[in-house]
Amino acid sequence: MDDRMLTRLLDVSAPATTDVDEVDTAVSAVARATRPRSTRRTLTAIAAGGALVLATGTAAAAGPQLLTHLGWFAEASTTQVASDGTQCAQGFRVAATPEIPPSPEALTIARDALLATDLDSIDISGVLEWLEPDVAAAEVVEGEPWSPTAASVEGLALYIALSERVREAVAAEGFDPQSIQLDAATECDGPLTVPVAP
Amino acid sequence: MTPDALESLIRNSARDVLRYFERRVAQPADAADCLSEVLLVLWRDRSRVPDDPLEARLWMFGIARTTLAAAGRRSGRRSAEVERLRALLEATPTDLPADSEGLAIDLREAIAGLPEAQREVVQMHHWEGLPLVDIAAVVGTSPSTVRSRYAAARASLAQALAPYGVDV
Repeated sequence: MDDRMLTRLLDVSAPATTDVDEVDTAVSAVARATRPRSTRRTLTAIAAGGALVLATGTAAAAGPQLLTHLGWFAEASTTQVASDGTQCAQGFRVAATPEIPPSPEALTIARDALLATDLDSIDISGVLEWLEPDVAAAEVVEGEPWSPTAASVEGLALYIALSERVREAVAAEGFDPQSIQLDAATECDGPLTVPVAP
Repeated sequence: MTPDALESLIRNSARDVLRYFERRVAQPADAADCLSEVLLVLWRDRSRVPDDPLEARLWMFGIARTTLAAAGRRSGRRSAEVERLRALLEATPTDLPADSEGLAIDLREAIAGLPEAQREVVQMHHWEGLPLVDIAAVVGTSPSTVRSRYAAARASLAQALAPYGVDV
């Protein structure tokens, strides 16, 4: 046997796969179910099963110790200008997803990544572009009409960009990024309460 | 990438990515979870998916490669659609190729015994049919490195198959 024979043998060495029509149909169904159809679905995809809460708060000022009405201290926070021209705060913290408990190391890596990020200069332009169709199609969330304002959409984009950054940092160290979620609370242009569907 | 373009990418490549997982995961049903994960990442990171269809397909395989590392370790809730695909993959037998069964098994074992970086190149090239230059894009290294890994792998495999008269 020669080099060509080895190539042919390698070509046929692949383990067989399930090549039946039903699988094609099932794959199409999974693809349809995965596509986000609204901002709410988008958030579901981002949270990937986690219990994301993006809620309005009543904090008086943004700072490292921003306490939200949800009862937790933000580990990182920033201020925005709401649509009425007032300053408003948005805070974030790293949390464990209930379905996939993370290792302590993964939580530390995620917190370090969050704290190392300058919330005022992180680039959210790509996320804003990505959100555009969802914002345009925003209808009803949890029975409440959502009228996106610049502040609320930018806050959402900041949340998504931060989530990606934190999870990328976790994945880069070999841990499961889906074991980490980012909680967010905002007092900018609420109400914007988006509990993620299971 | 626009939603329509991403849907087209998924329509054209999802089945190939499922096969990629089927050939590598220990439990066939886990391939369904892996595919679902890849699709979620694609939608989540839509703004970062290359516009060029070929580059986007390779990007998708890159996501698949990363996802494979966590295969079988997820315990999150599954959608009904993923459960259905899992059931199909579990229930449908996948037979070995009829010809050269003994040699095929020994060759597969020889491939499994290669260093990971070499094994990955051989599998993607011969199982997924990806050119070496495309594999370089998927794994994030240079084409020359991939060519070196592939050459070393072939030499090792030829040695392993010597008892069958493979002489390269």
